[in-house]
Amino acid sequence: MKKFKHVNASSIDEASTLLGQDGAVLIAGGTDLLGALKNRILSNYPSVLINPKTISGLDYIKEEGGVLKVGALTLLEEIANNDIVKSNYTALAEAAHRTASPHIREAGTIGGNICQMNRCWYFRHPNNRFDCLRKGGGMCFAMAGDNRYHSIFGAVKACIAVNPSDTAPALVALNATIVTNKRDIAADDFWDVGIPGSTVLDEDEIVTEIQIPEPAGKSAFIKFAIRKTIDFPVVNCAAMISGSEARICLNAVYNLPVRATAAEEAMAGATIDEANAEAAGEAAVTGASGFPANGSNPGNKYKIQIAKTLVKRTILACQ
Amino acid sequence: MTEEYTVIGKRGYRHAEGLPKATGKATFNRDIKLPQMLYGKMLIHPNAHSKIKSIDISKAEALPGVVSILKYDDAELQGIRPLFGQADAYSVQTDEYYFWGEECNIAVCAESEEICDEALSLIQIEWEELPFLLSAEEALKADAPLVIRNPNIKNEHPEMLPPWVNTTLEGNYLFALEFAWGDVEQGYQDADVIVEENLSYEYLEFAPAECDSVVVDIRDNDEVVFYIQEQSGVAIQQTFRSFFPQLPMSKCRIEKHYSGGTYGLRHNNFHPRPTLFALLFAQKTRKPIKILTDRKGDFYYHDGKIESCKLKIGVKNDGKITALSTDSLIGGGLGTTVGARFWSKDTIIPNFFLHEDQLAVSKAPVTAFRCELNNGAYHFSKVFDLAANAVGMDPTLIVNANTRNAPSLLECIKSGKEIIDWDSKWHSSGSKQLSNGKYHGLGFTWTEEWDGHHWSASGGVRICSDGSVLILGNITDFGVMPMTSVKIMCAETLGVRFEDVHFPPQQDTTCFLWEGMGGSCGLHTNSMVIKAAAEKAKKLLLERAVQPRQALYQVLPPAFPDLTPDDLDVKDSMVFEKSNPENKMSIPDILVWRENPCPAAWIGPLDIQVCVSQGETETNHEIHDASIPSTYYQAHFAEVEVDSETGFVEVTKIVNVNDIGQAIYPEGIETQQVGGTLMAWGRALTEEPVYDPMTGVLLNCNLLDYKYSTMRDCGTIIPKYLEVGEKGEHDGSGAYGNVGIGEDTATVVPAVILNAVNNALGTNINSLPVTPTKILKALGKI
Amino acid sequence: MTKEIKKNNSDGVSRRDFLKDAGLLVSGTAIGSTVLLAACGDGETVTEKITTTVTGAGATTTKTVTAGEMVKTETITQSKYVCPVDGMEFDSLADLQAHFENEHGGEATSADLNVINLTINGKLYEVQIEPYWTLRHLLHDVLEFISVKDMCCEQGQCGSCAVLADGKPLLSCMLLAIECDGRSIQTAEGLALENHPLIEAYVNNHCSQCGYCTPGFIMTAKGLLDRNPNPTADEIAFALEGNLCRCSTYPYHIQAVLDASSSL
Repeated sequence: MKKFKHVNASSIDEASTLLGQDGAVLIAGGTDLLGALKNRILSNYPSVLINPKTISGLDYIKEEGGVLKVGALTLLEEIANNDIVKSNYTALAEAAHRTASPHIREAGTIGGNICQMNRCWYFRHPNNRFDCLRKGGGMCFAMAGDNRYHSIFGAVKACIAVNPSDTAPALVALNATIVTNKRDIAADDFWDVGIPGSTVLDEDEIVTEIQIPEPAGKSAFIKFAIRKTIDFPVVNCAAMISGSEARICLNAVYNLPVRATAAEEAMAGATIDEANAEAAGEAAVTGASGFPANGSNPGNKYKIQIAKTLVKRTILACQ
Repeated sequence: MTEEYTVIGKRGYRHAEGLPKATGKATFNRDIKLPQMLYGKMLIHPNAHSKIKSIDISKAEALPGVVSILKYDDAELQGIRPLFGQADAYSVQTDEYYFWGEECNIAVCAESEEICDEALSLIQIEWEELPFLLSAEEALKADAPLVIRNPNIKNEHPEMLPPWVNTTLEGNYLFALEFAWGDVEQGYQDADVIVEENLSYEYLEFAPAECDSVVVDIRDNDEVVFYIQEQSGVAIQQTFRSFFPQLPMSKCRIEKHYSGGTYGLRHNNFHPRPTLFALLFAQKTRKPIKILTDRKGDFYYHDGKIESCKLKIGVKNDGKITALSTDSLIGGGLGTTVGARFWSKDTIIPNFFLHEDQLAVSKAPVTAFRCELNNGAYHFSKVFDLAANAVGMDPTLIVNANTRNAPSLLECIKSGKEIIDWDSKWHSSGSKQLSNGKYHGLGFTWTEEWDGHHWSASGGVRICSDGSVLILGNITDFGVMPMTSVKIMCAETLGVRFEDVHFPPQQDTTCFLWEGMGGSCGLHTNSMVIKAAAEKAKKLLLERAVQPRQALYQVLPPAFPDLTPDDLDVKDSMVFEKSNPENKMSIPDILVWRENPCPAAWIGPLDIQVCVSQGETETNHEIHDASIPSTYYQAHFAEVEVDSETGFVEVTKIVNVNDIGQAIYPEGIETQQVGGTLMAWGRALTEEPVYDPMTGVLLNCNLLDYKYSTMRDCGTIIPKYLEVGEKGEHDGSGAYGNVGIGEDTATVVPAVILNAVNNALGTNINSLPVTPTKILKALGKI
Repeated sequence: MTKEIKKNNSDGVSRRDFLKDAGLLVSGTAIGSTVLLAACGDGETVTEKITTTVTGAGATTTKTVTAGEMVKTETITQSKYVCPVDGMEFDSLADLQAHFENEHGGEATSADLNVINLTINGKLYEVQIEPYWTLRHLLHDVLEFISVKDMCCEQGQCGSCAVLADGKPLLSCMLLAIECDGRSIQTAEGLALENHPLIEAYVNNHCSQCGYCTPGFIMTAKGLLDRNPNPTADEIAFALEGNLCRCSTYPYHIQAVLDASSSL
């Protein structure tokens, strides 16, 4: 890695002030950031890393007044193994459990997981080989390149990368609120397509807590990846269905987690059964186009089929 | 003759390489750290084909901690000859590079790895981008730009190429080859069904655990010590002798420590630049230097790609194949070929025609990756599966009509079918949906077992006077557990206990080198050497046993005074009289070992030491003769469950049956079967280098995006080895009747997984890896 | 009685020589310093200080023997402490701190000087690092714990650099050394000192082919057994799923961990 400074923050306010400096970035678990720094993927190399792990009281899971509160620095493995989360917020526990590998889950935090950068292989290529839109460059290389893992719902700001988080769709389906040092943000509104970030956060804004109202119904999460572990999702899906309400979210299919609103409408108040779930799956991918095969690029139409299937199966898992 | 062995083929011997690895004490090449050592890195070519227009290294040179920078036009590099390899040439003076990831002739030497990285980032280069080609089909076109490196070099060393290779072709041709017998047109007329298909198989990347590194240290006596990750030390000696005529092989010492996965020839022919630059830096600085390759720079070796292989099979309703013609286009090099070997050795197909074109493309050079028969085995498997499907036969039965039904083959098939319960599970394609909604499929394939052939090797055995035995010879431990096997063979032939046999410390490589040109057939070759050496040593031991024994100040009577060597034998490290086993003496007593001898009065070594070189050992070149039928076979069976909605393949069970002639190290055989099978899982389903079509850059140059199997990806694997051979005897061509195992399952199993997928879905996918896209497309869902 | 011996590393005195003495060591967390340990015995204290010089950061080893209780431990410190302002080198942290106070006007904590303390395999290390060093770099490249491998995956995908950090299997390539101040680390070398049953189980089950990934597996397995001494085969597979093995020895690891678990 290139040289940088490292500062332990003792409070959120201090961390926020430090983050306001030029070249400062926050290091939570570090499992996303260090990979990016080692491979020198960005055009601007950070000059100082701000460590919030020295701030006390950011690591907890508790239920208060019908709301689950998870500290931003809570490890994914702790979330995956927490009995309350497992029984009442199943989609989140399962999403945390299916993230990356055990070692990563023991270091990676929920705050980091929802703020991670995209995994487009052009964006991530070492030594900034492709100076793409998400680095302030002039073009999206995936558009005319190999986009087998890319968006099936088109581009955002001309970028066709996908949001790779496993926990993000679970938080959307569970109607979570992301609490920062500045404001409360509904999960629906938390993600964005930035340079190079993937959230609406300001530079000096820090996620401190995730709040989830206790769901009225069951929730579930299903992930499709090439291998059973380590891999990022090809497609994942989370759903929470109570009698009258259905919240269904797909991820890794678009630059932002995608609320499958047509599927939600189809399922609201409907019986959870094979036929309804199948119809909801079809509805969820209405408007998905994907990229066709082109030479050595197989395209990503297969993801539409997988997304449809995952929506169906996630709904059925909420039975 | 079947021999009864006491050590060979028995279970329970300790894995000789296990402890240093489990305790983390095994020193791999990347772990080497010498006093005063400097670090080096090569500049990685960022394009698919380009030439340096201008270069400025001044900023890099000015970086504190940078010791030296060498590049193609420096005086130190002039006069060094290009290295011939794979009909290609690596010049160290060139400023033109032919694939993304190529190590350019620009290297930095600095006090730390981080400084090297920083210095490389400060080198400013203006590249002139040149046309590149990513497919052999494009490379074949008449108006294709030339992407072949030094096209004339292939004709400079005709003696290094097989006689059947046509290298006189122009353009991007590396070579073409043709084999034929019979009359295929007549064969098609005799057929009931004609099958025409087009196969493809992706490149396979080595992606070894340990990325390449090289350390070069010039000692005070001008001996050059290379610490390398390579199967063959001799090859490196030869390589550097050819680079530097003033560096005799005898002054060039190779230290091969533990090697984190090799699986094929790597360094010498395909990757000479890091070693070369390390040597130049060592000469310049007089300090040891370690050049490190990182992961993105280590996607440097792969197996060749079958871009297309047009098959035409004529088959009769009884399953007899009357004609086969194939026309392949391969992006590659000599390391891999579809070839005719299996067809001529293993089948009785009467009419055959094979044509193969191999073309240079703008990708890393092709070499044999566990092993050079990947493409051939895939080709072979697919033809039989397609033919069986075409006439609605059980694929395990079509074999009978098309081979000489060697006992080994029949036994392998019978055994595997029993283990997987084939007869009760077999069903026609696409006909069995399980209660979980997935489709169940069975697959079968077979080929010959690699008999193994005999490369050059030498080595020796020393019976120390305390009774311990030292094997003289360095062996590269790259994962096939060679030390345990060789110790077993040595113990058997000498008659000593397994635990009395030792290898010299890894560092001590001045004596002899084993393994010749590569990892293939290592056990086979070493069996020849160790058997000859151990027999020679045992003969000397038994001679000593009947001679007066020289002690310090007196001569002791012979251990066995009235006997001849022929009356004696050795077992459990004791020499005994064959007709009276109670009459015995330990080796230390025969060799007059004393706990506390007086060093000043030492009368010289009492040890027994012998060595053998190539030529003293039995040679078997039959393997090279494609007309001699194979005698050893293997059969593999797969069971899968396929999700027809997502295209996800769950491999639930694989059964491997390999006839290995004579087992040497049973646990070692099984771990090779299982490990190879899991490697094959990736080859069948997930492994695929992805190049950017616009720039020719390898996109998945990391272990996240280049995907091979994890702990939980594959179901049960049942390894089974047989010892059948031609006459039910241990008659394999190795010294103990053994044949090879290390390469087989990784090479043959990919096709059996594909066959099972097609059986599950009723599809006709002929392309590896079989991805969700290919499956969903074959099902008409996308 | 204190004696000081200065030796060069190439003369054969290396960190690994000291590891051989480990049977006599106080292993443990929260070892304070040699001073504290010296105080805990009432007998004669022998401190042997050996300075070793290796490329890059050197290391000084202080062995403390309290004769009365036959307690012996080591605090391993560096031989060179570099002033971040002017680059001057000092033999001890205290000397550097004194210099800093005198020359640069102010107290400097060890954190200011990038000096961290961490326990590795039961010994306390005081080392000056760079903020951009990963724990893996410190362990393998500087302190020469060669078991801490690296498949150069660069993104935490392979598990070969796994060590136990406060008992948890973590990727040392994905941790900054500077964030490991005060932590207790165990590597495969430390496991070997314990003669943990996993080692024999790994040898006897023929778990290693090329063996490069083995230490990462074995440390991950140790982490599992520490929290779950009787895992099922499934639990083992889930615990080890983040460790890649190109030779694909996977099924043998499951059996080895089961065997080790039964002999715990």
